[in-house]
Amino acid sequence: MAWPPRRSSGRSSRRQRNIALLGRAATIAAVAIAAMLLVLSRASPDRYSALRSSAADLVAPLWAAVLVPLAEVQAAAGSVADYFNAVEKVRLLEGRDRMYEIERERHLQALHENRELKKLLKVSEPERERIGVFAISGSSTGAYVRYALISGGARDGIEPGQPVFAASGLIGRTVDVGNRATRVMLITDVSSRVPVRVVRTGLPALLIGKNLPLLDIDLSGPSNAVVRVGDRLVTSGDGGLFPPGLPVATVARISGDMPEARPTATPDGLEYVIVERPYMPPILLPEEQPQEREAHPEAVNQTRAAQ
Amino acid sequence: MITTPWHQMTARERARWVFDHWKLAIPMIVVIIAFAVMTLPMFAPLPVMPNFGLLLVLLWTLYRPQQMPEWTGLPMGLVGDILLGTPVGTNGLLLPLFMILVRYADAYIRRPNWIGDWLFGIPMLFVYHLALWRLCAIVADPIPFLPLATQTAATIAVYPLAAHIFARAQRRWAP
Repeated sequence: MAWPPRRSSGRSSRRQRNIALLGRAATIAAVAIAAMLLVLSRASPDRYSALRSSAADLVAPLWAAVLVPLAEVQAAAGSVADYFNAVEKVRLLEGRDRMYEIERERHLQALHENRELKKLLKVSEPERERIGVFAISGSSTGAYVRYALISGGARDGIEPGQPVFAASGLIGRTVDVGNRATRVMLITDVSSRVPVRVVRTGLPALLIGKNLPLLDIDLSGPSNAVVRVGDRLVTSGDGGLFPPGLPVATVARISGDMPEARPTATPDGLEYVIVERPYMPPILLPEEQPQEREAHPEAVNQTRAAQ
Repeated sequence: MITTPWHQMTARERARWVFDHWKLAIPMIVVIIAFAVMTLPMFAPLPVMPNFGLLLVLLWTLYRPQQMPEWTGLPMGLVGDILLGTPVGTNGLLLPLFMILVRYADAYIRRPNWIGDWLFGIPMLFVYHLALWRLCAIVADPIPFLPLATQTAATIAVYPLAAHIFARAQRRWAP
């Protein structure tokens, strides 16, 4: 029931009518402004990046503060749980350790051999460079986008377009960078594309996010690879953003026109992620430099003349 | 209450007027806080975070329409857009239209009690999310409808909770 109740009689003072008229005009103006903003964001979706990153700056510390006691509780519960069956767990792990010892030795030898061979062939490999470890402190995982907020920003050296991963695999890439917080596009987001390689066959594929729990695997590349359920997918390093060899997803379902994969890493509010520099930063060719959206044709011509 | 026209006030009187009327902004502040709460870092496979902001707008439009004129949907919606990642302007455009729709339907449909209001809210919330889905598909990339459906269901489910919060806000800070 609306309060105060509506008048049953149509009689009203002039002042009330004026206020109602003003309200209606304001509503029409609001709708018109919103439609204009919508057209603007259609024309260039990145226009509001600065606003979004400053909103991230505001929201992230809030959640970071709220989640501190939760993290403590979880850690305490975890350390209590660790004491149960401690002896069995230690025995199991010791046995497993002995089992893997030989494998580890072989792996180290292979790595050493690989390094030597690469040295012989004079392969130059880009270095992976870590920027930092940051806590996840927010999300906008509504129905429209799948984003996470992390508690590090420009002052920590984060820039847009850097890979983000957790211990268990790839999380996504940085998009809007604020001063203290950054929005990360998850690999499940509808506009996320990750070039991957099938571990078993070594053939390339493309992982396409669709805002759903599973990812689409686009195999229609030059190789037309075939996958099986349980195949592991790792980053291939194509495109130069993600370093090769990071686990991304596991093939979960093969039906319909596209096989689907489940991401190996699912971000959690109480988790930490690693941000790195792009594996191979894109090389800017001189003639490609003034291709920013805001660059006016005149200005572009002038810079070309200057060069 | 000062009744002098705005242009005749001194700076001090204007400051006083703004200070006296800050309570008019409470509905907007509460809705914006609700949008901020929706950024809780919770990563379910499908979105289960209810659209608290929209629910509060619905409640205010149903129970205290004079506290929330339609045009306030623009600033609230823009904040929601920026926080939730929808293309800027979608919620800003749809919230005023949503309020107009709810007011119009409210005048025609009689409900005996709050459960009637809850049932009345179901098609309203569904229509809003459907419009949002279509608008997002036009403005940005097309998205699947399933996540939106789960979010709508969650929103409908927490209606009583939101009504409770709304009633608390009314009792504590009613303008």
